[in-house]
Amino acid sequence: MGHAYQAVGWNRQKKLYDFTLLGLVVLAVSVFGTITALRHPDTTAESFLIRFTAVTAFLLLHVILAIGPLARLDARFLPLLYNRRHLGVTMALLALVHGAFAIVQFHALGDRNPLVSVFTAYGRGYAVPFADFRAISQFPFEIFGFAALLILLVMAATSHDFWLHNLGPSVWKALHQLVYVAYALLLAHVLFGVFQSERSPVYPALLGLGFVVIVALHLLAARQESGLDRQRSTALAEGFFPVTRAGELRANEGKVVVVEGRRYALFVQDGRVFALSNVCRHQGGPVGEGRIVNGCVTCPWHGFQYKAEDGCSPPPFHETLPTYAVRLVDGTIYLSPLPLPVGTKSAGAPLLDPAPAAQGDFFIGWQSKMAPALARFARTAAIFLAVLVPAAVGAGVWFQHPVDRGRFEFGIENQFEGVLYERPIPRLRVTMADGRVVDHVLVGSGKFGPPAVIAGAQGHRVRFTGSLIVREPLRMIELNQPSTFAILDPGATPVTEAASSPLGQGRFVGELVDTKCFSGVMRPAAGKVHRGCAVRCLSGGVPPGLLVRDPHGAGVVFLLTGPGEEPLRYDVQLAGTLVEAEGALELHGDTPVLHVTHLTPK
Amino acid sequence: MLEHFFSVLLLIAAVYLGCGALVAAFFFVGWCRRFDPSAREGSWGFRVLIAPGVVALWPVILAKVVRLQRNQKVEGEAETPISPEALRRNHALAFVVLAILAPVIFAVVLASRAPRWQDAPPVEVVTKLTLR
Repeated sequence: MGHAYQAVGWNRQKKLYDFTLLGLVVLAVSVFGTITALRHPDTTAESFLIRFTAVTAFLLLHVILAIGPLARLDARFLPLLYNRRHLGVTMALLALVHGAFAIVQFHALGDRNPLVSVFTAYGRGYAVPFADFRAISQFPFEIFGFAALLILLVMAATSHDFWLHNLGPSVWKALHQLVYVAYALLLAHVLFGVFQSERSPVYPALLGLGFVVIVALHLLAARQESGLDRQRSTALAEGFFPVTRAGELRANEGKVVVVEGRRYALFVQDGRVFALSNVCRHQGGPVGEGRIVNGCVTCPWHGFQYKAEDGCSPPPFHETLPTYAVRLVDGTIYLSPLPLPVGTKSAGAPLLDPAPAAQGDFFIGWQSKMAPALARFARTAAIFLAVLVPAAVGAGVWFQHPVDRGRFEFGIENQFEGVLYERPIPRLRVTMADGRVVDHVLVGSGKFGPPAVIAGAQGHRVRFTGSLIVREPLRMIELNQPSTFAILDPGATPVTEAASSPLGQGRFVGELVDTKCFSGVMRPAAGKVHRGCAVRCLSGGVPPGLLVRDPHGAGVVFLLTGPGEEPLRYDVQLAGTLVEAEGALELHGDTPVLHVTHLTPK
Repeated sequence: MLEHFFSVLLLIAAVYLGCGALVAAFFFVGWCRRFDPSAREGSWGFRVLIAPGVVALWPVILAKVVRLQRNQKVEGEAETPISPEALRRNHALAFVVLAILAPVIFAVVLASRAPRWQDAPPVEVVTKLTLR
């Protein structure tokens, strides 16, 4: 490098690129938002953000991964490669928002450090599933996403030429090849995560299509490259190898030739043929696929320049490419693979009247104007993306199964008064304005059960401030202001709860859920994607529930407790999975409570 | 055990990033000026942009600063030419492996999908309790 670093070396092409990128993201958020509002109006803002950023970031990763091989297969895609790092940083930032919000929403405000919880919430999922094939799908998906996010963030953080220079191009390039690992990790993240909850066949079809396109493009590009690497020729006297016919060279246009598996760049300038290394000192771009622009050999990837005769970059830059001796004998160009001393001028080989270079098919972002044909191609690519991105994002939200419902009056604090029953489930029995008596299950703030202040208030009239959570017929109060809790009749004899109404003994199969999230705090509130959160809530003391299906396919939740009045003893890591619960089902007030004698994974 | 392992890992990561923040502070206050010819005159926008990388990859920065202190040549390493042959091999290998393994994992994970509550047998006795 030879000039002071800036945050971004803006030019017209970069501004156009970023403007198009911003437009794509705005288009994606508009489509995602509109379809969410129309089809899934109960989606919360956090869930919207988590889902939108996930879908858009994953889609952008596909675009990023496609650009490299497309540019190898068709040079007209090179303008998309020029500013790809901005695309990568945008994608990494979207992924960061997704990861951060998911960790906060599903793992924060509980009884464990959220970052520890991400990996351990349902640690039993790591067990090797010897006996149960289905247990494979229960492997924690979060660890894949976290690892991918780390890779993407390190890549984004090092997406500046400062890092390219100070890590060295080899290390930098190897580091950025980890994007392939990140892609594989994200495939696993999606497969083990959202695909366990969303059952529309559209999702596997879209993921499979994206995978096939990406892998096919990369394998095609790799095949093309390996074909070139396999070219062999025999050395003549003095170590010169025949590399090409002189008639194949064009003025001011590079040609890649291969000697002993290594590539070299031939250029014809001012009637002489020069040979340089084909590996650009910037990012290893194929110099021989470039052109001579403003009198300098110009790499097609990012426009780094070198003088053909000595391989030196023009001042103030000081990169240097190795140069090689060439000869022209009987219309054939010969090249010696021994590099000339660094920076020495090569005489080259005379070549009069080479064919003229093709016009209008080469553009580097720092040039002022793109040739019309190339500009048309770039516009077509942008229009294709403007259709593809919203369509794929739209499909991503359109086929989601309906989100869970409910109402959480977050931030709205009301005063509640009623009779408190601690057992079998902590509840406040409230007489409503219309005279009905309704039980409200009590929970604490965050991912915790009711605070300790309620201990000893069984059967007493109490008053406190909290927030309402409603998913009829379940009603809950988040007792988030424990200091306001007061027993209104401390000396009175505790009220005895009327006998419960037995509904029968039975075995029920359903999902073990935390009743707070399910009542309206989280959407989704069930399934694999919510499993970590459910474990945290149950671990923090939120009453467990069994979500079963009624004959119409709708959900019913039984609050779970022990066989008698005591709390249920169970493994909280079963949360978010199907279990079979056996016991007596009763109505306490209007709250269905299952007194569980046996709880087993299903 | 698992929680203990990840807690320790998190602690190590926090210490590592803490060291990174310290190195970043020294880097931006002083080291940056005698570091890299292009970084010397770099704008503040550039410094902000590379800050996360300095925090994450501080051993690289520190190693270079130590070499500078000892007046060792630091440009040589930065100029190490790339090996496109190795990169092309890695690239081809990565996608061949991905092309073979990913469809297998894809099929296994989809086939092993556990039933959800919607797939459980219906409960007959409690229709009046259905959630709304």
